[in-house]
Amino acid sequence: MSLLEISDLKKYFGGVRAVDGVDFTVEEGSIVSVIGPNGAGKTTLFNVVTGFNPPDSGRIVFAGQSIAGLKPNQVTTVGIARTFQAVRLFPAMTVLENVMVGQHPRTRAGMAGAILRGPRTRREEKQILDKSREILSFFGDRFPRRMENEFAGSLAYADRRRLEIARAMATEPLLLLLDEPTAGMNPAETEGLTKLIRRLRDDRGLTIIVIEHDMRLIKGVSDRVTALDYGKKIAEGTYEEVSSNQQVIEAYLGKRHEETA
Amino acid sequence: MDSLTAPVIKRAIRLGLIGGGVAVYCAAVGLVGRFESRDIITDLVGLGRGLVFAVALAVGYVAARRPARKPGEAEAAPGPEGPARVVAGALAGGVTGLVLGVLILVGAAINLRTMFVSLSAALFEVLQFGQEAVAGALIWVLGGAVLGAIAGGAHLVPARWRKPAFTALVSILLLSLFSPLVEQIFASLEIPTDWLYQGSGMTLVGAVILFVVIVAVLELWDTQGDRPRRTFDALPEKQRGVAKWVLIALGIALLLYLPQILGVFLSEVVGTVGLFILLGLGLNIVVGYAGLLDLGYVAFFAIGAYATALLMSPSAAGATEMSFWVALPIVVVVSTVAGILIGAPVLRLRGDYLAIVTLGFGEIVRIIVISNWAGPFTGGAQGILSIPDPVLFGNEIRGPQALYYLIFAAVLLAFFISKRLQTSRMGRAWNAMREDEQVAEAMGLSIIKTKLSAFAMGAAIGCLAGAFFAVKIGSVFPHSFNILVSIQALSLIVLGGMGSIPGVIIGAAVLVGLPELLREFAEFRLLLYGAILVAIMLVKPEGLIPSARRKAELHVEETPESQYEQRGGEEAGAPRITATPGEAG
Repeated sequence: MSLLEISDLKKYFGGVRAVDGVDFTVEEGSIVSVIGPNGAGKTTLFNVVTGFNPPDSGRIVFAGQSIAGLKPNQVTTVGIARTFQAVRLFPAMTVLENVMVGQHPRTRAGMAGAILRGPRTRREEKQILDKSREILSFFGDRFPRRMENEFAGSLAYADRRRLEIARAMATEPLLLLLDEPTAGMNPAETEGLTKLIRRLRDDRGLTIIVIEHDMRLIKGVSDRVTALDYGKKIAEGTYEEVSSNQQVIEAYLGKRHEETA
Repeated sequence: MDSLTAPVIKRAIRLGLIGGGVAVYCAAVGLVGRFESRDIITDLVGLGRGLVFAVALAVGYVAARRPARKPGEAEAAPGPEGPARVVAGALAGGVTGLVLGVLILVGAAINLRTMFVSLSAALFEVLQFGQEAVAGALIWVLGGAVLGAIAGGAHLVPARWRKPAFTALVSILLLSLFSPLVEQIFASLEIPTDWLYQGSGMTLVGAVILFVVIVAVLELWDTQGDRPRRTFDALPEKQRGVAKWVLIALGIALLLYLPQILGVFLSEVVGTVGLFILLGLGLNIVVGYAGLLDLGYVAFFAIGAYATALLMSPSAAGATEMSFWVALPIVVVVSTVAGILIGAPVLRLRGDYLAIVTLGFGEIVRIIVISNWAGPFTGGAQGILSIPDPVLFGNEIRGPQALYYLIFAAVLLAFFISKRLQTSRMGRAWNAMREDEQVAEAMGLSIIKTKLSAFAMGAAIGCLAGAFFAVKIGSVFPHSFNILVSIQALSLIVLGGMGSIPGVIIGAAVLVGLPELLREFAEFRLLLYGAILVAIMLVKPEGLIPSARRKAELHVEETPESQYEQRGGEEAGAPRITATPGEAG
């Protein structure tokens, strides 16, 4: 069953057709890569799906429910989590707190609960803590217990990327959107992240859409690849199909006769 | 003396000129003359001249210091070393004295009073030490040089002795300044004070005794200070918990006994400080936790006070003459609703825009109160009078000492609430929103709910301050609720450290308590207020007792990785360059 179905999605910014009639389907339990040159509309696609920019027209159906026009927090609540192209953590909150914030849509305690701190609130707080630690432990030795109380802003770059993924996991999503997760990473770190993305699917059962430029990662993780250019889908298929597609090559490198001219 | 290079000399002269400017300014605005009415040490050092001495000492100390490394420079410029430090200090102090000397000479030649009313003959008398103008000017040059040399030479003394001596001198100054406070406390404890204070200042003998005692105590603390801590840590877990509670209970017991020691006047001061702690704690939730810059916080103070007055006073329209305890919950509910109503229109606004709009709301509340429309209810400019005292178990709570307990209880409650919220799901949501509103929304938290709850909670605590203010004064007038209250509440948070609960308490004590204690210098209140704020923001921008979070915030921005973050594009499909080798695909 397809988890996410996008049909004829459009988003214009003035004269710029950032997303221009994209159809896009993601099967449950698959990893889909979205590629395309800079300005192709990849991040806008994410922004429209996650509610940051409402679509101008088109349908977005997630798990059988239309989510077009929902607010970002509502989208997160129905089960879509995302990371950002430029890492956006809460730098002055600790590693643990960053992940704990992710649990927000899955918990209830309000102001009265916080002040009175009755048995239910305490139980919930413990549950948040346990869940957050469990998620951090998914990253192996990257986030040992002694790092919990370090401020997110003081982490090494690659760990910030990981923490952002951890925070997204804490919202307990069905679908995870990763926006250029390897940007700024060295080859060894990219390798580690490729494994991590596969584990996210295999061990945690997440469906994943990833925007990437790093072809090794795309080759390493993708079940399907979708290529965008000027807001339109230009190719779709397996990695081999898309990477040999003439239109895709042209989008990235320019047309042959232009190049030689 | 090789280190007495041209840059060092230039720096010393520049600092001396700055110091001289400060000294002349203090004299011209009347600070020196006014302060001279008080003595630091009776018949030896007056507060006014002491102020100028302190300036000379400060510039001498700074001139003899090694300069700090400037950003962008590989290493700090070389500073004076060894005896050159004394010379540099003397030079800076001497220049400061020289500038003041010039003022004296000019003052003797022409009448400056036509422009600066404070530069009176009496002031020059003080400045010239009762001598001729030329002699007076010379005294300042030489005196400044000597003081600067002493301060510069202090660098040559090992820190082990320099620091206790400095602390002791500052303590003596403060104890002298707050002599009425100390005398009152000693009197309540039936300890004689005539050995310490005589006339308008401290006795020399008292000062020497204090100096010795303070240095000795600091020495003891230095060598033995960690002992209680170690003993405490060595205790088994269970006993440690008990010990902690015993300490807290002792602290509370002391605070409960405090009004008896303080007497009426000081209890009144502490009560006022308490009201501002309440305001600070409430605003701290809005600004410190949730990051919503609210410049109209006085609105909730006013609503709390007026709602209490309307419900309690027999002279109010439709007088319900409720008891305080019935009125209080109603006031809280009214104010919370007001918080949500004010919060709702500004949900979309952030930062400076929010600040301006809330500023407007603060004024609107005050103007509604004095308007013709609300006049019949609020009494317009005449206010509402004869608010009765709260009654507890048949006893009227009257007078500052009794009200202290009431305010103390409210502060304790607000403290407790702030503490609990800080480490709750709600507190994390506020923090996340403050850090990055968009991302917080992507983490599934509703910005509407989160913002409104911060406004509501802030309003609920702020109105408590208003309610206690109303019963403390016994009447409410619109002019008590001007924008200065908002500014004061915000300043004390910033001074103490954003988001820090102990910071609020210290901030209120410094910004509200000190001016109340130094009533005799009330005309300079705002001047000193501004000077304190500027100084603290320059020296300790994170506040006096910053929260760990705030510290991290100011620290984190310096790491190279975050510069990377700022460089990277973040908007939809923005072109961006990364270092990834496989990037071009």
